Amino acid sequence: MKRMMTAVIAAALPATAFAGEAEVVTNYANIAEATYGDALIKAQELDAAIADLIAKPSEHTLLAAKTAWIAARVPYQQSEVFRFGNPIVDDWEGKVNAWPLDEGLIDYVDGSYGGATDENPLAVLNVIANPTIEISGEEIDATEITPELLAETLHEADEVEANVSTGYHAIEFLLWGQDLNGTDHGAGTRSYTDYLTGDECTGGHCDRRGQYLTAASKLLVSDLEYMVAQWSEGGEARETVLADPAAGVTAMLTGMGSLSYGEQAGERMKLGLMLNDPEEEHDCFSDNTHNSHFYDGVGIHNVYTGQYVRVDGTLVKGESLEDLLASKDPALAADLTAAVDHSVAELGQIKAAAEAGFSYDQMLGRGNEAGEELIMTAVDALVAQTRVIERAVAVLTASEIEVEGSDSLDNPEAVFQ
Amino acid sequence: MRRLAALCFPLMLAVPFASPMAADPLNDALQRAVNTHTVPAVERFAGASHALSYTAADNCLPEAVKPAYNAAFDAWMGLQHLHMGPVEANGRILAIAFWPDKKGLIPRTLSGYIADEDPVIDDPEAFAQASIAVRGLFALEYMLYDDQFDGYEDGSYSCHLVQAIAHDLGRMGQAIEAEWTADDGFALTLLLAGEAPHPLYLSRMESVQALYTMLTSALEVTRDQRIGRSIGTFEKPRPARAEAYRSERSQRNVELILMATRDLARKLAPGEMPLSEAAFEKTIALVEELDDPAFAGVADPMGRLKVEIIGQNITTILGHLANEVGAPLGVSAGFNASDGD
Repeated sequence: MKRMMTAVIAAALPATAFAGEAEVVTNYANIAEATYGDALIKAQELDAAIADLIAKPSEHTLLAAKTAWIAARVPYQQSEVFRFGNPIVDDWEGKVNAWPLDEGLIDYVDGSYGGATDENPLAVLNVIANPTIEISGEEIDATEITPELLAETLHEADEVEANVSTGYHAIEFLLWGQDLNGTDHGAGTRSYTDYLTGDECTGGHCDRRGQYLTAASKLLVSDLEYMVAQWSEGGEARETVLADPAAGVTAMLTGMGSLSYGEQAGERMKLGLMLNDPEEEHDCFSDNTHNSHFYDGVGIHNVYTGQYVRVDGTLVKGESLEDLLASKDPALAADLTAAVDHSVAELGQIKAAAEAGFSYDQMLGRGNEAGEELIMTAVDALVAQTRVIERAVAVLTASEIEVEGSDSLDNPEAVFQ
Repeated sequence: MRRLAALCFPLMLAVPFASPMAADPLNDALQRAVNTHTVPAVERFAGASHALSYTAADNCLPEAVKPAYNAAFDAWMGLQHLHMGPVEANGRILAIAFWPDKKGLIPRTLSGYIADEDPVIDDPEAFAQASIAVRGLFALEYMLYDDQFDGYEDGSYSCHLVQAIAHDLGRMGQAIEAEWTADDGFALTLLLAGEAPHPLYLSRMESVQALYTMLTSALEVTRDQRIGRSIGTFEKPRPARAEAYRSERSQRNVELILMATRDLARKLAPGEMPLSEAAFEKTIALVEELDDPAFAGVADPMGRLKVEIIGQNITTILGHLANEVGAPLGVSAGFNASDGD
């Protein structure tokens, strides 16, 4: 049945399409669906753990929620490779994984955090402590902290990117609290007592903190439900890549290359290292950055090799970009396989060192040569991989040349953003 | 750029490189771009940053340093689009120009250094490893132009900090020049591609594509960041997000980038590029007419519109370059460093 449907799609292709593109993008969509499906399953488990924490705050329930958060990141980070090539993902991802954040928007912060800045007048808004807040001169009733308040009013309030009120990192902050160890070992140390009601409450406004965490968790689940639907049978993201497999192949390569170079190697790794700034860690509250980086690399590997190991251990597998490239240029396919394997291995070294106790924030420390070496070799591997991806683009998309900018010539106003 | 279009015409690979007599527009473009665009740019920045280092060592006070600072910044604007090789190595591009500083790390980190009198400034080798928030042109801009920092005296910690930043810039400028122009340097990596002493690009086509990517991404970043960040939205323009507004260089930087990219485009273009020339000329004229050095005018709807229109014209330039430079060479842009967030 599946084979028949694929055949129908292939028959509808323009004659210039490469044989196999349709199967490759179908498998790509299947992997996306499974990856977001797993992210949803794990977010639902996290949501249940958070409900337990709020109902019965204890060291045990807090630890269980943190453990669920760490597990939830495993499939989600593998999904980041779908982001750049697919506008439907890129337009959405800020809701769930925006970073870095000015956490003072959400809750109490240490005095060393500072106050409002030129860039962000709301950097210490602290909505948990304030039932009435003011944003851009407008007074807002925040008596009840709801998913709508977080998503529609607080998120990117005042058009500031650092006002992140939703998603994994907002939840991370509410579970771990600020990491005040600088570039020394150690994550945030929020106590479960921040969720106790009555006199035992620490940090103030525990009921509102619980409301916030619950709202953020519900929102994460519903946002992931939306993305699973986009990749399911009939979903827009799936239909888009199936409708034009050649463009789908370009989307696959775009996602791999943009994540490797500008995002991962540049924005997330090199910049943080050069600032020696632990706040530039991707998962700075939980010290889980080594895993976030590693699973980004695994996600790139998944898309290239056409396989994904689900959170229940089952394998999603089909025709791969690697196969497609090998049919056009076997030597280049082997180069890209080697490059992708190499970058996963380099990211794995960071993960291994971090799990043995040399945490990512320590690696960022000024003058920490071992940390710099670990991070920079992984950056170099990602940059090198990007060059090979560019070569693969040249081979796999050669029939699709279009001259850029014709829209802008016709109507410059229309395209300027 | 979110949408990828890194494309090469395979037929260009058939162009013979071996015979120097054969017409070889791709190789000619590469030679022109490397020898008459990149090498002079690298040399200018090395000279200007070296002069800055000497000037600051002689007299660290803001009024004495500012002319050399602006000369070095001017030279950097002629080089910063070449985000490759020695400019990218060791994160130099970030160390020389850390912008945008979205979290205000520069003033916060500078204040910390000054309050603690952090001794790292006395050791150039160690300072070269310090946070990029206290290094480079933007840290120096705070020290020279911002009220919070610029009142220091000769011999003070801040004075030595200014000297350390200037020295570090001079050191990086010279290292870039050395690594670019050496016998086995990056210029040859571009020119000889697969046959270079240190190969990075497998073919001259890849070298040309890399340079073309630098050309287009510099214009995109200028439109999306230098202009886009400052104009914000109609309801909420953001003059305090303009690049280098403290030193009133926002307008000048855009103009210098347009001139640098025009020069690179001319060197790469295999033939005439009349539409690109006209678009560059018009856009540069619009920037010159602005008379708004720090982009403070974006706070006003008319002033904002003028800056926004410059961005629109940059989009027009990009379209013409694709047709007059990229397409005839058979290349279009690859991945660039601002593909991320």
